[in-house]
Amino acid sequence: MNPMYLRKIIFLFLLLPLIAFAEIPSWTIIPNESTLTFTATQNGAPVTGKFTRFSGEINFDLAQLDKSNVEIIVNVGSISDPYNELSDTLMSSDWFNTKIFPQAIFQSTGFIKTGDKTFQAKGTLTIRDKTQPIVLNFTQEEYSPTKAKITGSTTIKRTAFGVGQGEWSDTKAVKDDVQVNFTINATKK
Amino acid sequence: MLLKNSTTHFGKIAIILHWIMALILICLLILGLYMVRLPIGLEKLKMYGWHKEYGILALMLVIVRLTWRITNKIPELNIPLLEKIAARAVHWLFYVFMFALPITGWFITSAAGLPVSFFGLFVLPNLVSPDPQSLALYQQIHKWLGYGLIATFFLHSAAALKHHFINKDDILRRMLS
Repeated sequence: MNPMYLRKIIFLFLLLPLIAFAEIPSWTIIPNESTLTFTATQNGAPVTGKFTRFSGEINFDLAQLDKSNVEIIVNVGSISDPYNELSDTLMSSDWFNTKIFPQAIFQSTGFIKTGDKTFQAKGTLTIRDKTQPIVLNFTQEEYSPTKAKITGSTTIKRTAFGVGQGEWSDTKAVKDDVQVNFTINATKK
Repeated sequence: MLLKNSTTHFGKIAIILHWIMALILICLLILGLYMVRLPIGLEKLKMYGWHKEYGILALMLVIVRLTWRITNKIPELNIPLLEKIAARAVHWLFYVFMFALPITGWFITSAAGLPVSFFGLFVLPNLVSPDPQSLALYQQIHKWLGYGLIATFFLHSAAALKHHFINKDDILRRMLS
């Protein structure tokens, strides 16, 4: 073998540990600057609510999407909307059943860059005792070495997660499609 | 029968508007009293949906009706002055209710963050931003306006029946043909 090549190969081998152990930065969600809302359709008109408490393990690097991973845990009982009777209903056993299933979890399985500042996160969403694959589309609004802001959304089918049991599985009065919107502000740990 | 009113008779338009609105308002009152007592469920949600869209229909109709009323002459009421004042006051009171009820209802749906879809054609904008405290206030106002409309309805119907069966005049009949 040509010694020049050998030297290059050895050099690359020496670099390998750096690549393998290159750390994926971890981020901390800033709760006051992050939102998680949903918009459902009742009687043909939109109704919006929010989850006020959620946390997450975010190991994310734009340059290393393949090694990035995100887990978001939503406290379902933190559901809130202007009409209290509605939040109470949504926490009941026919809907989220927050006593038995207090958490909803998004776990990423992969990221794809779809545009200049737009991305897709593939993963699974668990609500109640149902886990379904989902795709989140998000946009990077701000990204510095210390702070990041992303906004995104996805549309899920509520009945796929068993949200709305019995008479509520009827999708005429409350549509199946629910849009979920999120804004996450995070600082690097 | 003419389309427009004359000095002695109501025209076709005024009569049709009177009875369509009477029918819608009676149904809305019964539906409203019934639906609020239901436990939370699909039936309650659907009824609220109907109450809201027919309520908005009533608001649209009352705009047409008021426009018709002020651009038309009103048949004369040949009854004693005090009774005439009472009758006219009740008629205007109806207009107050016909506007105030749907508008306060619209405030309720706005404050609850549960907007109205008008028969799937369009969604009404929110008049106020969602807020639980103002919601409770609008609900109270709407409820008492509803009771007021019921009282006014009985007063108006009793007077019409009294004129027909006791005075035996044409006051009720001229709203029929």
